[in-house]
Amino acid sequence: MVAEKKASPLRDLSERIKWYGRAFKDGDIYTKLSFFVMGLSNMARGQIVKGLSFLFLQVCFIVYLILAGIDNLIGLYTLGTREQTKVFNEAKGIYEIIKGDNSMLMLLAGVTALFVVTFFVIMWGASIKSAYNAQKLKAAGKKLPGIIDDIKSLFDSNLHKLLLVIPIIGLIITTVLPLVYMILMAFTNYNMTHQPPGKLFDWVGLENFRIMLMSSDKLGYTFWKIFGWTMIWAVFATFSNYFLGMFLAILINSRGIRFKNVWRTIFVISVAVPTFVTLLVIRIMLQEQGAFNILLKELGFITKSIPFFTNATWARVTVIVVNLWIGIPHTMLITTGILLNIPAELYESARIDGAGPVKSFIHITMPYMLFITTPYLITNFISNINNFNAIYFLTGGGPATLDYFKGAGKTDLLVTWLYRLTVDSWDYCYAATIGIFIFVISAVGSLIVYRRSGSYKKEEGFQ
Amino acid sequence: MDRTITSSNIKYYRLVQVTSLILIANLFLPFINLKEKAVSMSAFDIFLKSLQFLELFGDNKMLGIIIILTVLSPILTLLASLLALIIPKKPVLTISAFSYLFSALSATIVLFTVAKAVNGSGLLDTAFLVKYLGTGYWLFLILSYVGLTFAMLTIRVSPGYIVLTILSIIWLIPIAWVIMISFREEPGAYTSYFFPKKFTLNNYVVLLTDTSKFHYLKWFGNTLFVSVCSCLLTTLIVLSTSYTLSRLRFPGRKTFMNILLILGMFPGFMSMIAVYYILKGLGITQSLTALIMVYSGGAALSYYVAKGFFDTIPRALDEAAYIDGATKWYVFTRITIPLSKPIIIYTMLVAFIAPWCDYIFASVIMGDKYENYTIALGLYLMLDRTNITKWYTRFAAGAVLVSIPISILFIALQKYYTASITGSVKG
Amino acid sequence: MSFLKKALALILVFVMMAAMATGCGKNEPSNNATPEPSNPSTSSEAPAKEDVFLKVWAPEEEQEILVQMCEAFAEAHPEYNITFEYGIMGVDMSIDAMKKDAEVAADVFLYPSGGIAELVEAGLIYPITVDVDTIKNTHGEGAIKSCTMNGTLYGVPVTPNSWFMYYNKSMYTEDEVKSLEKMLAKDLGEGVKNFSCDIDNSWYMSAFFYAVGGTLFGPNGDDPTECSWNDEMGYKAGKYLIDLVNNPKYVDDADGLAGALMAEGKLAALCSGTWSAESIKSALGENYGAVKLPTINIDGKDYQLRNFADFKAFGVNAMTKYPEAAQKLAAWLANEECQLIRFEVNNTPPTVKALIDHPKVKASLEAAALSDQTQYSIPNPTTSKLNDYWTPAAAFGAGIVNGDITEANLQQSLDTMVNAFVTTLAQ
Repeated sequence: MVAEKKASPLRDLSERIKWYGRAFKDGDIYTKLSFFVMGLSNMARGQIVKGLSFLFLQVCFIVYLILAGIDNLIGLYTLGTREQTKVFNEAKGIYEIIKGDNSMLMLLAGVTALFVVTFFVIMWGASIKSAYNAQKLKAAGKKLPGIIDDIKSLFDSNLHKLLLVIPIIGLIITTVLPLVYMILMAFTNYNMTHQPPGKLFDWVGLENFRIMLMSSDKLGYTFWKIFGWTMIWAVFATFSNYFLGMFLAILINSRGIRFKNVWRTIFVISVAVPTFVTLLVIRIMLQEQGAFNILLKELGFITKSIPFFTNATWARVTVIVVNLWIGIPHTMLITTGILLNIPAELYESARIDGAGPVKSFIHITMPYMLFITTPYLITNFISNINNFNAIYFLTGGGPATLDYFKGAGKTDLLVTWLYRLTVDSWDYCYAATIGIFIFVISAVGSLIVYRRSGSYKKEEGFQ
Repeated sequence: MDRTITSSNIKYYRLVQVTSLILIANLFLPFINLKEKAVSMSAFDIFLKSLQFLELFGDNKMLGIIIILTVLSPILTLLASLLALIIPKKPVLTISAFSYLFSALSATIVLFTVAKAVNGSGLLDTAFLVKYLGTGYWLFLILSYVGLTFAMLTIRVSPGYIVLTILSIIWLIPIAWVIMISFREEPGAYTSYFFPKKFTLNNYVVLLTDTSKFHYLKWFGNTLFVSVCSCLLTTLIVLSTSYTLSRLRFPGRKTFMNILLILGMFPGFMSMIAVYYILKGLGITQSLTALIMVYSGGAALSYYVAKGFFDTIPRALDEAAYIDGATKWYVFTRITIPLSKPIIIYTMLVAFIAPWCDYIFASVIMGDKYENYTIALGLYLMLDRTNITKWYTRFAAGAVLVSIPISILFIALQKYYTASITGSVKG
Repeated sequence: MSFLKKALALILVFVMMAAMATGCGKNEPSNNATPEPSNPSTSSEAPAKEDVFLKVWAPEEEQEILVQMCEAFAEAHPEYNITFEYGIMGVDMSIDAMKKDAEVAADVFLYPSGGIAELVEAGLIYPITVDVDTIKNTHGEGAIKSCTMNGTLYGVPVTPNSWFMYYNKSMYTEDEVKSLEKMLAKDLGEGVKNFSCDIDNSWYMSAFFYAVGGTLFGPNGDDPTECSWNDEMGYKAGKYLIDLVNNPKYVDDADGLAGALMAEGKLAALCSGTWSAESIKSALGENYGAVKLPTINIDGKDYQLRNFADFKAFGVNAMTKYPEAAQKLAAWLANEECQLIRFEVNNTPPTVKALIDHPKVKASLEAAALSDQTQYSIPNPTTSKLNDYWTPAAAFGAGIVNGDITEANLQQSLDTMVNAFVTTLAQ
């Protein structure tokens, strides 16, 4: 399986290679030949279906290599050599456009080819394992598992393989493959002046990272400023939602409140409205001449419109507050259940010790909640770092400012900034570079926190 | 003392009475305070004035009502407190609480109507602003709520109701506003007034019948279809991934979990173009199938909640089955799944909602294929520069219609939602 | 290893191979990528009918007449056996859609001429060479110029895609709307604003810099390293913008706000394009007025506001299989008859010289205003650096609107803005 391959650290890998060496040395002629013709050993020892399917796989792979694979791999290296040209055809009075190579598609096809090759290598390894095992079993005089046994094992000892096939295929197609493609893009010069299909782009190594980190003062300045705001936003959006949502849940669950379901339902309604609708509606409501300002004026609270989106500070406060409106009911729903699970005896004994509600919150509720919800908080924090929708639909990153590189906005998060880099200036390679930065930061940060968290340690205990 | 007033709440009961006295005194503090114009009037002054010039009531009933509310409510609280002093029984104490409720409501109503009322009355020659309200008013507002809290404590009703009511109003107002706009007859995203002048059902009628420009019903159907399919596929993926990670042991499991965690951190839309071309390679771009793939493909990444839930199901059940010779498949499908109703419903619910909310992916995948648009694309299109004036109220109608089915689902299934997460995070 | 897993693995391989073969692997040697069926018979006397498939993109409001026009084209060209496919694509979305995937994009599409450099740079658009002289003679000079890059025509203009001023005739006389100073000087009463424009939109803001003779990307708009907006006159234009925004009679437009204010009689004049004509006309009735942009007065001298001279034009996709037919169709869709239909149905102002003086067109206020304004407009720059213009310019406008940019830091802001236009990241 793909996952298992990634699982093995270097030492493990070298062990494995040694194993294959041994298998080749100790193997009989069929096993040795199986290194070149997959499935031979299995067939020779009666596992016909298994052997044939290995062979079929190999044939498919070779056909694929000849038809497209080799071209694609070469394309991945060159990223195209022929640029689009046009030649005037006098007879017809029109230009004839001669298609060139499309670097972008070549990159993608190359990445796909890499995946197919990787997959084949894994299957090749599996086939040798199977070949050697078949030889050993035969030598030991044991009965070889037939195809029926293999299928049965899928529903029992190998159930994990059966269950993970569809999820992994889905992940590879919609997540991993595009991801590798994007990472590789950061090492090309796919920018405004190298747009396919008209122009070719090429590998440039670490050039983009150099540009990002060293060349332009403004870009670096913008990056760190936006990074800072992204962190502020993520902290506020995560923790204010968390604590206020918990407060709401505690309030609704407290003993004196009746009709708990009615209260919960009121807040649940706002969860059920699609967020992008809420965001668009609130965006229009909060404009300078929007309903909210109009209402405040009618009621005599203000005379001049509040610049919810045009003033940087207001805009930042606004996005955080609006996010509260959206997020609190969510947290409320999630924490409600956990709160109900806190053993009542804990509170009882605290009360006997004379602890008030505040004290028992600090000493019982909080530690319990934090212990249990750390992973939730981490994923929430990460998804807030990448919270594209909230910013994009609400402020669009604005108010834009000239202090930032090419007029990025004061509420731009790294993700929205990166999106605008691709949409406005088609600077894909720089956007990909920023994407890698975001990824490294969030991955390292959250892995550290996650590994230190109680929930993780407890999970380890399972193994 | 009657046993309805016990020692624990008698101190609150005293505070209730004190508060009502201060409230009365408040009537003589400046209610309106305009420093620039050296105008300072207490509520009592205004009340006397309005008695003198009865036409004040005639011209502007609103101001009259405000004044009556302001003057009446402290008196009522005092009367109720006095009554409670004489007959300290629960019904009387409840009356006292209600008098404070009345007072708090009055103070709130005054806050939101005073500007309009004063401006309409000609009492001041400048436009009235809330900041002109004096200490008399603000104490009135605060003390009413304080008194209400004390009164509620006296009769053992949680003051949490006050906070919950205020929060509910904050959460319901934007929703009420959208509903209101969806019935507004005047088109346009902006009006210089808050409440619509005329109401109509026409926005809904046009939205559902005029298919020349926006085929709302068709898009609604598309979204429903995508939602249902992707919800089934997602559930399948999430359940199998999380069950595998929770219950089955195999080499590389831990690494696989870490990989999933890391993969989830990548800003997904960066690779949208790649996803688009992969789907094109599979020959399904611009189709609803493509959308279903996109929405469910990465579902394994959100295995976390379901895994936590499976972790809480006692392993003893599995062990017992294994001893009886059951296969792992049997345990998964016959023992674990039937116990997992909440998490299945939760997963389905979350997956069902995603297609109604996504705009970016759908727009990249659908491009010019109007008939395959989802509701989010359609609604966003209505807010386009060229459409917004004409279509804004219909957009609101569309938003309301989208929200209704999801709200119903959520309300009906919220207990599973809570239950599943409860289980999961215990892990 | 077990069988089922292998079977699934094989499916995966096939799926990937399908991807390779159909989509991603399209880059195998393909010198004959324009398989224009090179049958010489097209020029011979007895033409065999050529099978042609053409996909056409036009905005939603043109769909009905588009079918009508295309059918007329098919009738006029019996040498082709054409199958049409129509797609709805907003003019401002077409370039993005082309860039996303030109292979499935339309053969003939409507785009704003400002995007010409982008399309040429990315090799997405076909040079128009069929009957090019006729086209050049038919359409106005400005229109042709804005569709031309490096001497090659890349589209057939359809209508000016620019903006002008709408005003309320009951508030301004025809004389007053000639000068912004006169307009702003007039007192229209409490709560009524005099003028609105969208300063934080780079599309509108440029008019003030162009007015004072500023150049963007050199005098011809093709020098990516030059912009004069931070010189002395640029400073004055910036100062003018600051004063304008601070004028209480000015309101900055956003999301259709100005249109709504105007409809309520709370705004006398606004800047917009023909897309607003319908709603403004119905709101103002006989007070509806449209006119070229006013002059602005700086240091006692009047300067005419000059905006980008953008045109909507039909372009031909570089990936088209039928370049000849597609070019003919593009020219046809923009010819005199079609422009007249477009004018009559959608009130779209023409670019065909013969039509501009047509009595019906003359009678249309907005068409007249637009063609008046076009005389003063500046052809949009034809360097792809124009991409770097929009966001910094919008940021500058936003800085002025929200008061971050004042006289104190104006020069510095101008320098920053110009610097952002002309530098590239890799430098």
